[in-house]
Amino acid sequence: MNDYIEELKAMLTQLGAQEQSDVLDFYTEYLQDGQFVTYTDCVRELGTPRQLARKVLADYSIKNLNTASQSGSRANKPKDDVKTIWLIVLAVLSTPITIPLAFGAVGLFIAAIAVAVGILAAIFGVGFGVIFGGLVSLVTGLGVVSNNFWVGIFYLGVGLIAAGAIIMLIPAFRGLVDGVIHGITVFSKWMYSKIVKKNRAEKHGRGQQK
Amino acid sequence: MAIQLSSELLDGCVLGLLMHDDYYGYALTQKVQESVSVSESTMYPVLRRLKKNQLLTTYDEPYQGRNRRYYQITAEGKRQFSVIQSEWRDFKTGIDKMLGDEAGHE
Repeated sequence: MNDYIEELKAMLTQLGAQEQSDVLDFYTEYLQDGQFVTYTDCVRELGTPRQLARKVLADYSIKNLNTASQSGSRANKPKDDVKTIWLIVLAVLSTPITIPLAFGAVGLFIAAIAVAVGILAAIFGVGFGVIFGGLVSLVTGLGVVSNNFWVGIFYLGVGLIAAGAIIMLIPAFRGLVDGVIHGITVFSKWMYSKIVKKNRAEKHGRGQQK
Repeated sequence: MAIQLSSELLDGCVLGLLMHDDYYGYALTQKVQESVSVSESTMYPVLRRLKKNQLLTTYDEPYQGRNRRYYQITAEGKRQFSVIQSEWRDFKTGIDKMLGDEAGHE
């Protein structure tokens, strides 16, 4: 049992000291009261330390996300979102689920990520395209303006329009990128609840189908 | 079992048990599992959330040379319990109208 708790502890280093000791106290007491003495007993009751740790971390971070979005604080949200997505991926991968379900889930998840990456790539593509085009236009304009005044002015104008467009579009880009990342988070939370709940029901022998 | 317990209901169930008695973690988990199927690892987040919202408090009591942490409902917890209870009654009445006895008595 001590080995089990030690392993669990080693995997909860991301939590604050207080939170970590709360979790460990709870499960230490739990295992003592349930008289789960051997490592195998502990695993049978709570899953492997890795699975338990990931579940704790995922629950913890979903909760953080919920409280953050309730209080309406947008500070470093995408970063939190990315962390949540990652924790959920780990949690889902570590839960023993039936193979077809796993394939389905992984496929779905990869598809969702691919769509998101595609959208992000498109956004960046458009952004870089406009920036690059604008720069080229400005430089051309500067080069040509001494030879042919009106053509030079035209290119300079196009370049300045591009610069203006970029400046105006930056908030929209940021919003889009945030939105896509947040969408993925919501999606993975949803998948997490689907898969993990299924697993719970199986574990208790109702609707057993292994 | 296809029907899942929402976290509000699970909160209500835990508070309901604590209305009668104080429990320590393992006993509380066992007690909940007598009635509904929840995983062993769902209880900790629930208790943590309830404590954070000050619906319950904890105290330690020595037991065989170590401490057991007991969970005790607060006045706020009792109030919240009756809120969840009445919400559940409404919900149950609504569902019973459709699922109650023989289906489809107009």
